[in-house]
Amino acid sequence: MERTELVIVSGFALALDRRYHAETHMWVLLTEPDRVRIGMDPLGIETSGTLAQLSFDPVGSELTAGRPFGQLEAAKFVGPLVSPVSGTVLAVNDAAAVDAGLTERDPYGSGWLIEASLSDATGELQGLLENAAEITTWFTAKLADYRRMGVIAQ
Amino acid sequence: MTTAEASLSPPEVRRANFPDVMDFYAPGLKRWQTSEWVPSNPRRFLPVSVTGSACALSCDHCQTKMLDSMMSVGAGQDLFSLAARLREQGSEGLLVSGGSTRTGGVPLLAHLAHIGRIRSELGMKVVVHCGLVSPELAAGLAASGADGVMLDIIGADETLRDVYHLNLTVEDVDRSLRLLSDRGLRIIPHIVLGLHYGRFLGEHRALEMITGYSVSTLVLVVLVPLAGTPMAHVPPPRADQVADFFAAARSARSSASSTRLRSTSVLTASPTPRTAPSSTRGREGSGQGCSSTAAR
Repeated sequence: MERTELVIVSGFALALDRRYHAETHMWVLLTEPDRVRIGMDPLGIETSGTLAQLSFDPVGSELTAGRPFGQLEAAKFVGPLVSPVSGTVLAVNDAAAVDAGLTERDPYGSGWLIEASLSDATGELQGLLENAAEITTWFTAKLADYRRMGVIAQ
Repeated sequence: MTTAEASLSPPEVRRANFPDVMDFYAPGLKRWQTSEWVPSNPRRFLPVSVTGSACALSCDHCQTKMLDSMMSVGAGQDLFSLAARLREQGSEGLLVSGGSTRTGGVPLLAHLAHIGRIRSELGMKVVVHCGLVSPELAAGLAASGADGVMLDIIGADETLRDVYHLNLTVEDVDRSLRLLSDRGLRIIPHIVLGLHYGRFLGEHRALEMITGYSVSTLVLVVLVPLAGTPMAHVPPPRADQVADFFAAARSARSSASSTRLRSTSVLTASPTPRTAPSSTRGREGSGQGCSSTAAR
């Protein structure tokens, strides 16, 4: 896999080589025409606090956009990992399930969560942020919002 | 516990002393969500640290990790202005907490003047984690009108010394209880089960201490081993030990009020609340289910 290109936004690394779901803080990287890798973005991780435990639905499970594909337990949040797309789980990151810190340390690389086939190769990606400018604008606005609300440190 | 109750199972003890209703509280220190339950207002009751991420004790079970999930009173800001901002964002109450001083208390004196205003002007509920208190702080808390004061009750000198790094004794904890009680404050004591590196040590003595005062609500916290602390790999106490302690707590009779503890809340190591039967009720961020950092 190619080296991830990162930009820094107010201290947070942001990869611009992939798509983002604005509400779930999941990134979606197209690895083949109908196959994606899914992970958490750094802002989702920051607002969850130190990650303690990740668990995923098993390979072969059906994915539905807006529905859980696993569970997260962290210092500030306990709840579902919500899928940004619909499809089928093809692989889960066992290393992240064993050591959730991996996702914290390398969210765009070895800390990925699951891989999936898409139920609709083009339609599933349409609701995601793709353009570098809109990703940066969204991330910056979210960051400011979280800081204003005190969810993350000023 | 009476002789008759001694032969009852924990669920039977509960039914013998309480209505057949169980309330579940989602702690305000964390956002919780399950497939069955989503908080209607996750910011309803938020914890605020008056010391930011600083704590002079850095106890073995927490090492300031719990402070990370709290809002901070920032530089150039006071507790009232922070509360006003949170009120605008939908919060209805605050748990005022923070790191500890070297003497086991939370440095609250400078913030007490704001509590009354937060209650009267913003209409918010204010519950306080006070830790061990001086006579001055107990008086100030009473004058502030705080809706409740929470502190961990430690029943073993070894735990105070080894876990909290405090050169104090159980008598000092009891003195704080007395000071708060004498001021007529609503005391919501916490007992952390397994606090001494996962094993029971002073819990039953702590319960005895509490029954010496007029206390209507007791919070039992089951030790949650936190990543990055000396207790990270300590196994929490066994479920049967916890159940037995619950039975003991539900049977406890307050010698001060001659009434039983009306409510016993629990905060467990379990990350996900179980699906509640029809006779249970869920509540979010009441503050009663919140665990203390400084007071432990």
